[in-house]
Amino acid sequence: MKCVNCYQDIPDNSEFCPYCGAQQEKTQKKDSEGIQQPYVPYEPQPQEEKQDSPQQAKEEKYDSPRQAQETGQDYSYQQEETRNQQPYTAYQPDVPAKPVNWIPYLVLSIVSTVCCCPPFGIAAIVFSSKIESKISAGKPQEAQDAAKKAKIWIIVAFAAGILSAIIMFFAAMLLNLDGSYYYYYY
Amino acid sequence: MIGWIKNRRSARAGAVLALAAVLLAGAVFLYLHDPYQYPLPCALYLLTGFYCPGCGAGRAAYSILHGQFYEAFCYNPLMVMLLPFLGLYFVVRGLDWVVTGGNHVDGKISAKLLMGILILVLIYGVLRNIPVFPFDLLAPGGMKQIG
Repeated sequence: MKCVNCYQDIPDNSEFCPYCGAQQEKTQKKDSEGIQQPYVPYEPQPQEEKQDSPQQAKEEKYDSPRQAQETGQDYSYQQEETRNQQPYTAYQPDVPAKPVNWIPYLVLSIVSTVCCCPPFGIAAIVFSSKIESKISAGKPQEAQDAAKKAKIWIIVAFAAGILSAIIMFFAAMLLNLDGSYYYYYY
Repeated sequence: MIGWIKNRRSARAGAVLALAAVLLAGAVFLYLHDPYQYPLPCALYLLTGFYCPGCGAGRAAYSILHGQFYEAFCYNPLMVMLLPFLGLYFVVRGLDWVVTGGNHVDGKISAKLLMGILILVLIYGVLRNIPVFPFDLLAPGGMKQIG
């Protein structure tokens, strides 16, 4: 299914989007293809409100979302919900997708290049800067793809940097490099 | 799980504090870890012989932790200049996230400025490998030849 807020692919029956944290509407899960809900900006709600919302109470009838899906009851309740809502319009391409916030990607690319592992850091830089060009080209979907790749490379750069530091630290201890060698150090 | 952390202020504070504790542990390790006695070599330098933009960062951080700022500047001038701004960004962003659960910082930062810094970092990585006078000042420890 798609997140109601950022339109990322997320696992079916997710309660929250793993990408943007928006709460998902349960009625959306078996929608036919090509129909999307109107854009609803995500507003974080206080925890107390969520707990006694009627939707949650309804869900508690079933032991698990999976079970709920398998029983026919769920289907009828879903239909009801759908009917109560405003009629669906066909997919609107001009729905404003939530723009990718790419400032953290750039900052982390700088950090990973300066402090960790430049070869992977440069890959992170390339994809981070791609996010900008895709946004300014008006392609939010491709911007999100670039953001995903940038995220992967940032993680790889940090992991490689930390791992190589640890490995080289022990290697240096084993080989007993002495102080005259210090131009070689990180 | 992620949603659970995002929706509780105390959980967010805990997550940020855990991260800060890890960073503090790293700082304590580096404070005690004299890079001259126990070297921390860079795999990239050993393999290629080139200084990367981060070369000298470990020694610079060690020097900063011991209050020797000029030494630190000698080892990696760009990193020492960027560090206060990066630190400020992470502190402000972390506090903002803990208190509000949102993000009011990133929108105020110019993306062009960051792209400029990234390009500067890459150019700096190339320049510090040129073994001719004005450029070799940028190599780790190179600044010491004038001061």
